[in-house]
Amino acid sequence: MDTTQLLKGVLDLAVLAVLDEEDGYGYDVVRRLRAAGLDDVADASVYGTLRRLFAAGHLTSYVVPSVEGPHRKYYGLNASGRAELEGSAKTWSGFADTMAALLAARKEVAA
Amino acid sequence: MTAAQQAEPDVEVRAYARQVRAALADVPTAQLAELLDDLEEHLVEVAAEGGEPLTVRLGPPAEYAEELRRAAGLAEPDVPVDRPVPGWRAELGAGIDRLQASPAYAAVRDFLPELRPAWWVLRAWAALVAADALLAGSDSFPVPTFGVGPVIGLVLTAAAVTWSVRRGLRVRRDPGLAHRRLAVAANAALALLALVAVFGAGGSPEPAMAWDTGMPSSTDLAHEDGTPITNIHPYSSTGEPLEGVLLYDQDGRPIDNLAPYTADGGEVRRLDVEPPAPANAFPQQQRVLTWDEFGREVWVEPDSAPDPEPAPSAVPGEPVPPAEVLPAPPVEPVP
Repeated sequence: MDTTQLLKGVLDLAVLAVLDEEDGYGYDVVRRLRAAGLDDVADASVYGTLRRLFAAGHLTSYVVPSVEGPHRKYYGLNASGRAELEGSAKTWSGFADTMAALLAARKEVAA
Repeated sequence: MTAAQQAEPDVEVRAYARQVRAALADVPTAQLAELLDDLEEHLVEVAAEGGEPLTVRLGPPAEYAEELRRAAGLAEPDVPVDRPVPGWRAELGAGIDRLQASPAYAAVRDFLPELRPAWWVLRAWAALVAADALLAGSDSFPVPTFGVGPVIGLVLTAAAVTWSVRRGLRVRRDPGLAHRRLAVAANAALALLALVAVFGAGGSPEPAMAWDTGMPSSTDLAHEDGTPITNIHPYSSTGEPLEGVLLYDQDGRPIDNLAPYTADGGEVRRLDVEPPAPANAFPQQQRVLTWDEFGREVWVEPDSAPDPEPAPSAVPGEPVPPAEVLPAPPVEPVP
């Protein structure tokens, strides 16, 4: 199964979860998602998702000047973002449980 | 990673960013600024990690742009045809980006400053030649004479070169002097004058120089390796040497442009035969003028029938088999 297709549905949730741990800038979020095991995540998808979540009012953003590198635009969750994360996490858990149960039932039938 | 990328990561980044922006040209300006706010920073950071070029790590810029557009939830372009077609400026810009990213460009760019002193000398000379032509109306070349004589011209040239080089060295120490518009314009004008002077010299009434090296001209028969063909020995397919064969080209013109000199420089002279044969009858009876170890002229009669080298395609002595006729391929019945 193509994980990039699955990722499209849950990328918002993944980005919100990463930013809930700690604020981060675009490429930092990409790296942390990959470190968490989402290897197939595309850079542009993450940047676009950050923009959309920000436009939806779920994120705050601030620029951190850097001495040796480029200035970085950091994102963090605001109250709306945390509420969104809570809601999406519940939806995901329910969905994942349903899928797990469905697959477990199929196994029992086969056995 | 190529040397060019190492030296100029920003060129690669700028080229990639430019193409991403071009692919999103239909997005309203305010949204676009927000969307691409830290695009360059992202690309710089990815490029700094080294490894493969951006187009491999992130995919083609157009795909990056579409992914960004989709993930940001922006409207797809209504009708792709309505997207602004990249104009000649964008094409030119992309071309310049590609050129600047090439290693050859980097090498030339790094080397050009080394040539500056040569340009200082050239511009002084060009200025004097121009002044000579304009003021004195003389066409002396390459040394301007100002209608007085080459000594004055040489002294003036030396003075001008000295001034020009000193000026160049001062600008090199203090680059602030360099980019004044006047200086740039003056240098450009002198570059043009130098070109005119050099090309004008081609048209000036100088004695035309010609070289007569005694080497065969390009219209004489020769092998691909340059060995002149001084005679032709026809053989039949059974290996019999043929006499008096007349050779013609595709237009029926006789082939009689044998090389007049051998590879060693010996002069080839055709001997008269009885009855007289046309110039395109082969093989020819010849004598070759060479020199012995004391430098005296010696006439040599070349081998009248040299052993033919076996050629890969057809060897004299072995009849060439007729080309095999291949059977026609079977025709598949149409269902």
